[in-house]
Amino acid sequence: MPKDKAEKRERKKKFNLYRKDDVSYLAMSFPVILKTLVFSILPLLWLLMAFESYKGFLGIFGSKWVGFENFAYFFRSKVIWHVIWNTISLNLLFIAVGTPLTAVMALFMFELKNRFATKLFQTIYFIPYLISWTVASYCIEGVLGTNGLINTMFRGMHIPAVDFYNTANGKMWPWILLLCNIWKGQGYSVIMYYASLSGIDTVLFEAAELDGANRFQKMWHISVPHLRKIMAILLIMSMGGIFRSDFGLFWFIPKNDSARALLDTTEVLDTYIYQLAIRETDYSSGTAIGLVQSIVGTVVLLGANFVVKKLDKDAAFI
Amino acid sequence: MKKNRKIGRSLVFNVFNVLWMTLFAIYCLIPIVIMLSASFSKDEALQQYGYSIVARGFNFQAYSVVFMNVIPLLRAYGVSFVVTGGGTLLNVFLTAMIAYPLSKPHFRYKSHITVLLLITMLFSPGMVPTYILITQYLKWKNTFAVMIIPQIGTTFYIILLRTFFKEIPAEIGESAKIDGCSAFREFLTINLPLSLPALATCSILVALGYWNDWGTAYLYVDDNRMWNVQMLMINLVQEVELWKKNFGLLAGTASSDSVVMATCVLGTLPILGVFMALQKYIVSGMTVGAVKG
Repeated sequence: MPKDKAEKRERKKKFNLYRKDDVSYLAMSFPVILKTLVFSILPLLWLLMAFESYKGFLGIFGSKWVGFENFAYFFRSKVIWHVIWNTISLNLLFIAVGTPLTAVMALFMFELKNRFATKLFQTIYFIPYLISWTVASYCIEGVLGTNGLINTMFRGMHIPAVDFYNTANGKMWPWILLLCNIWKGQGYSVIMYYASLSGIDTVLFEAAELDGANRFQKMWHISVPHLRKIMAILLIMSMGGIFRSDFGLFWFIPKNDSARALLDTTEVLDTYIYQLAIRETDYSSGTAIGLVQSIVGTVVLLGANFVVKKLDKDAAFI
Repeated sequence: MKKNRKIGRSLVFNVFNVLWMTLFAIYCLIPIVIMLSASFSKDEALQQYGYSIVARGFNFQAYSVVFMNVIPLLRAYGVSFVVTGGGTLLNVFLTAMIAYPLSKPHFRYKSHITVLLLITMLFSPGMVPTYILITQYLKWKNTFAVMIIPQIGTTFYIILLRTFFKEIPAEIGESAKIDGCSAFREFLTINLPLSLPALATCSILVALGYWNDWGTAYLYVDDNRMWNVQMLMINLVQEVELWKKNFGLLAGTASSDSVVMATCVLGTLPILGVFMALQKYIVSGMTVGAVKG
């Protein structure tokens, strides 16, 4: 079908206008693009270190090429498997407990129709999120330390004091870290879910009410399905981070920066890399593990995304 | 009759709901209350009876020790204020500047830029390559640049702002354009002022990121004159020993716990204040990003 001439001209005019905008738009995006190139793309070059025996004074192109030696060395060592196990199991624990807990808390908070109460709870839940892990480590020591709140209570009940930071109590630490993680991050996630819930069109609830649905039916048939998308996206993201951890949590809370008594149960890949590469300046090995971390993360994320896409096309991330 | 039962059930649910939400609120507050109470307690009491919810032997000695040795704290505040204030302004402005073109359906390079951002989200080079780049090639150790620039342009905030810009009716901009307004001016004078709520949300979260950023300082700052508040916190126990000596308290005679906690309180107050002042934007802003993003 041939187009009308006037319309065509009009379109071309608009098209030219858009092209003129493109220049401004590119200029506006430039600073962040430049930053991204320098800090996310350029460092990929130094991934070469993973295949070298890197010496700072020889530089990236002068150091000796060793192929996959760094990787092979690692996967032969026993420690790394232990650290990988810690990383994955703790992450899965956090996801398995955190996701349902967040959803339930957000649903219940959404049922709380009193605005003042909702606001109050949101504010209180968010406060731990504002506190850095460095400060949090002192707060948590105030609860768990030998003079901490728990031991004060034990003393009152004539129970012998427990030194939570002792290697002997390492077995408790996955659970302690879970509690710390919930303490700090729950408020943020609950607000995110809550925000998603408050985006539901109220007409849906009104219609359900007219049809005689009770509170739980409304929750189950309207709110829960609405949360599915955000849950799927956050789940995919956390699967992508399965080899990564919240560094501060694992570094300061079990005192892995100083005492290092709880490494057995609390050392994860991120803290392991830091110790190895930055403290012991073994850059090549640190890069090698970091590379494995990134590759596994990307593959798992794409895999999780693929699975979610198969189950529900709308819920996928990419 | 039936209605009464319904109200009764609803009441039971509400009571149960408020109860367990209150319990979680207490759980959230306990470590913070401990920090506050310990900062007002006597060190001897902390050693003898342990930490408790209510301060034992309420006094301000810990705070006077901090204020007698206020220079390190002030210096750390200074660094943190510059990084948080300057960094947040620059960061949010540049984030908005890239989010705006990405919200335009007719921008030719939209998909290219999105792919670039997606790649950086999917695959990160890791801690060590970035460390080598910054320390050996950029030579950015102990600079404000390293504390500010690497955090600029987080994909999450770009998406949040882009979604918000999309909501603004295009007609507003088009009428300005007919009057000869450039794309940049249109962004600056029309779209930015209209997105203040979203910018506020972004700013709080970005500011929080800068204020609590101990990681960058931990890696790249070794000069204690460039310590931010978080670096001071990390090295607090050793610092406090020094302060107590200056105050005339013998090191080792009493523990430093109350002084440590007092500094923690002072280090958290500024960001807590900002949050309290701007908190109404947090939920509203997240709605924008979460629902349609």
